[in-house]
Amino acid sequence: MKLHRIALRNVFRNGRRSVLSLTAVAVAAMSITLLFSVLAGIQDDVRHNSWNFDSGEVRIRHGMYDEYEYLNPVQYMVDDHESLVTALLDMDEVEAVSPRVSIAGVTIQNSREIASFGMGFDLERERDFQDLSSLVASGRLPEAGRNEAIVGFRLARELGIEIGDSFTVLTQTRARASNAFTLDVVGLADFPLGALSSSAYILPLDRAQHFVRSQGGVTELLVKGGGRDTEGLQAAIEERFATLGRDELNATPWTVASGGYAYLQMAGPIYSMFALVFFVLGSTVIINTTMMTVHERTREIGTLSALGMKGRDLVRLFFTEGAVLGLAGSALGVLIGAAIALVLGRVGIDFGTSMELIDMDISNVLYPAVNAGTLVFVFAYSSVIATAASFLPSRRAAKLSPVDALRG
Amino acid sequence: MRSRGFLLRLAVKNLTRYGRRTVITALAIAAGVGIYIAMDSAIAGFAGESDRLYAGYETGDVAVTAPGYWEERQRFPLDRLVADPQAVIDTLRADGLSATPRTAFSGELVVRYDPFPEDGSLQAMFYGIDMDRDADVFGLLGSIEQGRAPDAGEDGLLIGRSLADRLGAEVGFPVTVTTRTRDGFHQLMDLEITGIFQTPNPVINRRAMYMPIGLVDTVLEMQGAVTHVHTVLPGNLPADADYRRVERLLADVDGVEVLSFEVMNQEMAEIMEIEDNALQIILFLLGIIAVVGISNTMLMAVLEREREIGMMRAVGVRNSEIRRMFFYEAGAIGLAGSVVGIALGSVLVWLLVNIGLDYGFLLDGVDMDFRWDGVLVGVWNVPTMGYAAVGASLVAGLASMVPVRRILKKTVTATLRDDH
Amino acid sequence: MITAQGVHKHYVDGETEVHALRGVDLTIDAGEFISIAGPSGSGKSTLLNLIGCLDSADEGEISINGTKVAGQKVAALVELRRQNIGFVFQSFNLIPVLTAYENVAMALSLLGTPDAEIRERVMSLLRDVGLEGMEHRRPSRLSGGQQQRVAVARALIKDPAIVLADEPTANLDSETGEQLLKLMKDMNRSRGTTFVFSTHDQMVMDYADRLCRLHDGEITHDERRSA
Repeated sequence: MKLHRIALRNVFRNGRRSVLSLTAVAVAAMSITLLFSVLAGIQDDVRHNSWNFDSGEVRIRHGMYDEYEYLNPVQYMVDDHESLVTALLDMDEVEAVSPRVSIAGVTIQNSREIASFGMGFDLERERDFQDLSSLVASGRLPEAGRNEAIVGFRLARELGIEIGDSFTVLTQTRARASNAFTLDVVGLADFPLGALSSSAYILPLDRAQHFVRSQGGVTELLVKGGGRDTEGLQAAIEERFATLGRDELNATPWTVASGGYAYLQMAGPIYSMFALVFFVLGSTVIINTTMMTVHERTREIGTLSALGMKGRDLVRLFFTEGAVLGLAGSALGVLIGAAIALVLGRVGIDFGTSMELIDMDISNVLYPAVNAGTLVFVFAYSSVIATAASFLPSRRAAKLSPVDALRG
Repeated sequence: MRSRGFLLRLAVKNLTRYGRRTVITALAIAAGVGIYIAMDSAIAGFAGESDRLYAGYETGDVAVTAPGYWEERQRFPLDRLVADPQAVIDTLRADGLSATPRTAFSGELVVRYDPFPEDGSLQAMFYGIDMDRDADVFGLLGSIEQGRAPDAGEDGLLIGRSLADRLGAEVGFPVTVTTRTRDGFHQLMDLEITGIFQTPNPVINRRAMYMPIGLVDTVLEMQGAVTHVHTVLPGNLPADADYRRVERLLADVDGVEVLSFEVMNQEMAEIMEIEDNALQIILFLLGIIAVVGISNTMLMAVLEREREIGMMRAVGVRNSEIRRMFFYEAGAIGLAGSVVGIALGSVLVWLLVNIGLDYGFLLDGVDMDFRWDGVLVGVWNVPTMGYAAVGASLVAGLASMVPVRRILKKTVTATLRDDH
Repeated sequence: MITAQGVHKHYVDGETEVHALRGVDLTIDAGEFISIAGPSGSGKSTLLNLIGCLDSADEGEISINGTKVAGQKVAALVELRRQNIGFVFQSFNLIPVLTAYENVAMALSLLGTPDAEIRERVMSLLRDVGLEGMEHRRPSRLSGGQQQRVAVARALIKDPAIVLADEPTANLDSETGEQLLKLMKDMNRSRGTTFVFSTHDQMVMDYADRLCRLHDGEITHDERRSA
């Protein structure tokens, strides 16, 4: 009989013990799969939110705007953005460009000032950049050329307005003078970021430009490339600016511009540490189980070696048994973990409103993401660890002398 | 019972029989316990620091406002006011409590090119503070890094270091603050930056500015009213009983609401709850792996000693005593693991307490509403260590029950038979 | 006094059912030194297990000092064993992590006997079985004969009415075995303890005051000899 057949039968011989060690590996693999799925979900989410609402993959602003960002330096705009957009879209690396005007303003109501953040979007062009329709909770998106806005639903609640009402915002123009404008509410938006839902509204770019007297300028251009080579994209854009003679502009990659990216940097090592801990613990169980197997079958080992089985074969016998359990446990764990992650990916994990305290581009509802690469990695990693863990005690089997083993 | 001592000794002796296995299992438990302790320390450190900074620089231990103010606080309403703050302060003083008034309002800070590097404006929160009494409650006036606090009658402004750096502001620079009076009229203040403060609370370093409360009273036409009266309570953080004391003292004052720190800190508490839940889940998963490990180890021990157990049962050792013996044995593994785990955890906690994990460099451009300066500093939480050790030992002991039950189900004669 | 009346016992070994005892009648008086002999598979171990209250009969009745075994709760049987019965096993079955002294003391420790009394009783008993000076050795440092003496001391320490010994000399050479038998007989004489042992060793049978032969689950021969 082939060695691996014996090993396989042995797996089923002591069902309960096999189940225990399988469970241990599976729980470890499952936990890591879940952990990675949540991390991948956060990554996707942070990237999605940063790219769409914060920094793009690369953000283009007037250099002075970047420098005095905190002073609301509305006077420094990106001028002649139409030709820039055309030039950028002409580049191979660039997939989509979104010109935007930001309006920091307040609405005054019953002696209270309610701060709001207006986002002027070129609604035609934005279609290539992101799908805004998913934000619409009720009503519709504003139309170009009209004084319309879709308002974050919590901001609307705070302002006490509904679809059909209007609200007035006081802001600063490019010349740093005051200006007030009034918008009709045509829709309510549920942004993935809770902070936006309670502070932001979207209005047509042309009207936003008009309200801040931007003289054709926009606050920023957000650029999306393939995402694989952000630095390359940034470099290419800067090169293009140089040839266009637009040295006043600054291209900032999202890894620098977005607060969310910093969070990812922070979370990554912590999650990896958890993964490691789970594996160390899982591995000890496998080592123990295999040791137990060897010990329990000491007499059998004696018989086998008395019959002429070599030490190496004995090691292989027990090693194969451990490996089968390790592989099966890893596969099971990864599958269960992926299944849970898939379900959670549909349902979402609701963090309520607590995430609003952090300006890190994390959505209130998090959808864990399962990707094949992670699953293969976790499976491979846990199988290797589990298999390696069964090697140590297997060696013990070979070291037993037949006489000692038989006396067992 | 005397037999307990014997069973304990026997259990410990038995552990020495399987050195390597015991060590591996104990180490697994140690890793779990150690990491749990470190995580708990970090989270508690974070929460404690946040609470301390919030109370010490923003809320005090108890705040007194007009009813309904707190729900609307983010809009800085000036129509919900404590009309007679002096009455509140006097009442609290009479009972030996320090108290200070503050008036919070929102406005726009306007700066101009020269001396500032650029024209600009930003929405910010401003506080009128009592220059003489504020330090009784808050740490702000003790944190002035450059320049000085304005005098009570002076048109001066204190701003935070982070904000000053962002604005390019220096002591002596003139600024304009635009806001609205209590009745909603536009108002404008020309102020001079007299000092720059650097507190450990990043939120106020970035967003808050302070000026004499007398000036605020005049310019905003407050007629003596304020938005808050803050007080500190003896003891570190306010216990419920202390808060009740303030509430009782002010029972006769009309038109005020007494806010406990718990109420004011609710948002943070909710976040910590999420953190706690995450920790619980991780703990649960660690626990499962540990239980599987322990019951495996014990199953092995039980199977190996089947005959021995049979003999003991034959000579009249009770099943309960055998269960106890294995409970002690597994519990001892758990305890040994816990001891090593506490040692490991202590090293990690020591590092967290004395060195900390500096995330500051990552948080540079990130505006968080967390009162946290980016350095994760742990706290010593001895009870947690104790609970972790007791918990791990108990869980370990209980995990032994399954394999033992399996052998006790067999008849004595079956376990004594020679064929295994 | 031990009585067995019409005792039957079946057990299942793997997939075959074994009818180990087929109607055994036996009365053993206090202070007897009796050997139950028979080839392996004759049912002698089963009979000893029943007398030792480790197992219960399918049919018939066994009583120890007037207490009927059948119908007793498990816990009551444990107490019965604890108080009245000592065991000596073929393969010694000492606890390897305990010293000779501790192995003997175990039973008393579990009963909660004061340490001083334990010490006195164990030391004197170990002296009686000829193990003076070896109290603190672990089983691995004792010879087979010495280990079995420890086992005898362990069985006797509680002053049980009955000591059951299942092939006590099977793992010993004949000289050591004889010394052990002599020891047990001395104990039987000096303490009045009933000794019941199973064996297929002729020397053991020769030592016994009474010899019962068991064949296929039935007593075929019961012979008393004068001491």
